Amino acid sequence: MLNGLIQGLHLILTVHGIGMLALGVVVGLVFGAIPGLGGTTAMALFIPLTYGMQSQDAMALAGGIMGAVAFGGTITAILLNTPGTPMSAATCFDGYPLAQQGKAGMAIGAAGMSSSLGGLFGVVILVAVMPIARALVLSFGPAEFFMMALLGLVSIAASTGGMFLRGLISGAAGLMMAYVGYDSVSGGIRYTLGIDYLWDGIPLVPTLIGLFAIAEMIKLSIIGGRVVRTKEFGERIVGVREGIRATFRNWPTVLRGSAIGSVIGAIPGVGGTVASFIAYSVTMQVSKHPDRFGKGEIQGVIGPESAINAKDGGALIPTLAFGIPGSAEMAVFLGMLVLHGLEPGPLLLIEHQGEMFSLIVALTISCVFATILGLSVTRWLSLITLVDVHILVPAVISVSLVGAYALNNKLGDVIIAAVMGLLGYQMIKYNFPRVTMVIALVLGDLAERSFHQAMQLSDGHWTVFITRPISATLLVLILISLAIPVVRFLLARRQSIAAKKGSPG
Amino acid sequence: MFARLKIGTAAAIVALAGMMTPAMASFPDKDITLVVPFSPGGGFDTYARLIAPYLEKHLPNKVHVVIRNEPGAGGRKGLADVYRSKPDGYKIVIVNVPGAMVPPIIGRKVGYDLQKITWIARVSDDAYLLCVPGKSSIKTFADFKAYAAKHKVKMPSTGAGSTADAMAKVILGVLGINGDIVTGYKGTKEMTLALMRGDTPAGILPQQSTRKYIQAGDIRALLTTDDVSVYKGVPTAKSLGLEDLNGLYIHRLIAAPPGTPPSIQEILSDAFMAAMADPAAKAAAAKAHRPFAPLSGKQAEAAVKKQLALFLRFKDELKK
Amino acid sequence: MTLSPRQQNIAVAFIVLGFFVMMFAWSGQIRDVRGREFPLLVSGAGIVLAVLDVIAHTDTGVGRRIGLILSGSAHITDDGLTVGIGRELTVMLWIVVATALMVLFGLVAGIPLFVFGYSSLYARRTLRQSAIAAIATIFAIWIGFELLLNYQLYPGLLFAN
Repeated sequence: MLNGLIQGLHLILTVHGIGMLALGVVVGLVFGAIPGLGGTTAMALFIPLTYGMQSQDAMALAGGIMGAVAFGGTITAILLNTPGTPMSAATCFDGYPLAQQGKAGMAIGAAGMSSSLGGLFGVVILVAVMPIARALVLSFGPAEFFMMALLGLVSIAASTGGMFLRGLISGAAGLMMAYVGYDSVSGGIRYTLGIDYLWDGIPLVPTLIGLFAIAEMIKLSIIGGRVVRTKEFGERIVGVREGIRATFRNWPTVLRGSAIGSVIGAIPGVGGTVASFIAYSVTMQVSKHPDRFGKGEIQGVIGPESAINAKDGGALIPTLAFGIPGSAEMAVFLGMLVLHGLEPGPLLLIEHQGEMFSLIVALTISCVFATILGLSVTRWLSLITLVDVHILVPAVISVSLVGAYALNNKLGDVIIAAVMGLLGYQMIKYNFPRVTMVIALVLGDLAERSFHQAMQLSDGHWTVFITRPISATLLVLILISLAIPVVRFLLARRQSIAAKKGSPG
Repeated sequence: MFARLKIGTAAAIVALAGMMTPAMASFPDKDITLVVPFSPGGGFDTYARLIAPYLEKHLPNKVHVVIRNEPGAGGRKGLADVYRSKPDGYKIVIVNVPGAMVPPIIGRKVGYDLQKITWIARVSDDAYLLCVPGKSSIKTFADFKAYAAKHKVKMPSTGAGSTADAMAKVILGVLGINGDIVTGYKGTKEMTLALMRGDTPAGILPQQSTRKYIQAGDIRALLTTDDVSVYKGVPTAKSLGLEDLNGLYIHRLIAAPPGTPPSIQEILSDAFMAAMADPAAKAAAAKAHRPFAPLSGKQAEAAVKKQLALFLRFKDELKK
Repeated sequence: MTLSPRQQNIAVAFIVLGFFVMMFAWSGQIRDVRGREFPLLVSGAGIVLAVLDVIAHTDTGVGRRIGLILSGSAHITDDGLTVGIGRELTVMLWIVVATALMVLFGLVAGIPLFVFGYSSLYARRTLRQSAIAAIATIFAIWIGFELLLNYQLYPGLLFAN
């Protein structure tokens, strides 16, 4: 294996290789930052370019893009509360409040460092797990997928803190939205009113663009002024270093987030979006000050960010070991591999060690490189938060609608984005968390499908969810997730009662 | 006076002729769009991107071939979109047959008619395998029949109306086996994984993409619908006496809107055939393990007709 | 007639309730049993949740207790609720206008029109400032998308062939 690593490094460290890597990083950052574009689009656009290239240069480009996309999305998430990619949505919760307090630099610094560390961690896990990758991927069947989806839904609801009830309502609404369209289990079509466009259901990315980007712009437009709400903006330059230091100080959070990211990223079909949300939720639940989350708690940025890049390492496990893509990005990446004659599968790692390791090396370097690049322009980027809202708003709205269309050349996507924008604003106004709606939209299909599949495979025996060991474990995690807020509440009540008793009458 | 009239008419005729012929003689004179009605990264997308540069090479007038992904509705959206476009040869589409055939057979409304569409060429085809998990105790087709006699056979599929679903139903129908199709898997890869896991005791998988799993021993194939036995030890359906299953393939074809002028159809067809015969193209295809199986426009049309007849025979099984 | 924040929240909760009742009824019409299960379950739960939400926002003992446990009413923030419906509707209308412009005239024409309109009419900038903003925006977008990324910007319903 060390041989392979050296081979990989050798193949990358050429002028061509580094050039491709750098290009990938820049592309990844830009595509990640613009809502509507993302890793998948970037890969799809650049695959044709790799056609004439050497495989390892193509790997360098792919690794560069994959490693940088998340950070790009995070930058807009922090500065504008509009995540450039779905997985960066979790970073908005505490990242944006920090920006509003004039601490954008710190948030971005922490995010960058966390995602670097997380990415490195993910790669380490990838390499370490490879030998047992097969057994791992093969032990996740429909029953486990259902539990996984349920766990995701529950963690998100539990993490909405002070808006639990409305969080559940948003989640339920999101689930109903997920059921629109063709249902592969029953073969029927639901709620489409005969509109062809809705056959594939309500699309995720335009919804995201609307609920977050456009809705946020509506709010800004009404309130006026600038993104920064307070006067303390001087921190912006010092902020970045402070953010980096904060990351190292909170290394347990980084470790936790990375672990969650790699594990969840490795499960094909569940997706990285969920990884960052679960990381956020877990970080909040184990913290000593859960009430600080959502108001600019730096851990709320570090946790999910560590997960995001770690998930890339994880997602490569089933992709490389089986040719089963762990996410949409991976599916496009697979296409590129095949084009270059690198057929994924059990034999890939044996026959093409050099190329594979060059990919891994590229991914590693990319995470770090992206962070350096991103951080160096952070000072300029944070200035966005000072820009007058009425210049920002029409620009962002325009880019959002362009991005929505650019996705699949479907007019319907633009309309969905606009409609979701209007809905999103009302949700902001009346405190309905948008995040649970998005997560429900993402997981709704997986949950329902997996449930019916598991039931059909077990001939209708419910016990299958408990008898399969991994499924049972996940069930326990779900119950714990539900229990923690309740336990917390009871403990807090007992403390306040004790305090009242203790104080002089 | 008459002389002037005659000259005038002659001039008019020449002018008209001049206007018409350049248009046809200089096809193509701008970029051609090849629509892929599926997401990037999949088999159709890979083939389209594989052949595009060679198509460019073999088309007259140095134009570009631009790939456009238009996924949606299981491939029907992109196909319907091109079907409705102007039949000028500048918008063509890669089609999944029998995938595109099945929805109209089971009664779904679609925006195209495969009998009226203009066929340009076939890029590839792929046979189907009856598979079991590598670790299964079922080792031969005879074992499978014995198993099926005592149990209801579960098989994975993607969803009612999909190619995978149709293939499974047709094959079970021909074999006279009582099957339980578990839908909801998201694609061939997921179905393969399901089989490897042992979710179901058997499944129908496409031949090309399953190769590496068979080599690694994760999947065992009991028979193939191919004409010849491509993998060692896997008998053809023909050799097992199952004539009906012989030739049950998935085809990747190129089509243009109905009413495309024959001259344009010919230019495109010839370009595709030349591209697929190009040694560099063949090498690239071999490297990616995606071989071509070229057929010209006319031949493609015949193949489609043949498969339509086959599928219509199993209309009832498909409707279940 | 302006509603107090509490009244607004109750009204919204009723609207949400109405949504779930409608979805429940609609789900009942799904033909396949398996296709019905989850939607009925979820919309049914939604009805229950929405009812709880209505109660949580009322000024009653029960309401306050529910609010405490589930945080329904505890945080009626003022952010935006007293801004005035006129301004809100105006901005929302601008979104509709932006979308309509881009859908009808395409992105290349629609974007500058929208930016110019918004800048001059809503944000009350001078005509020159608005024009600069409009041109700058479409220029940047055009360079970014059409040139660099080779994306076709939507030509609009009126101009598409």
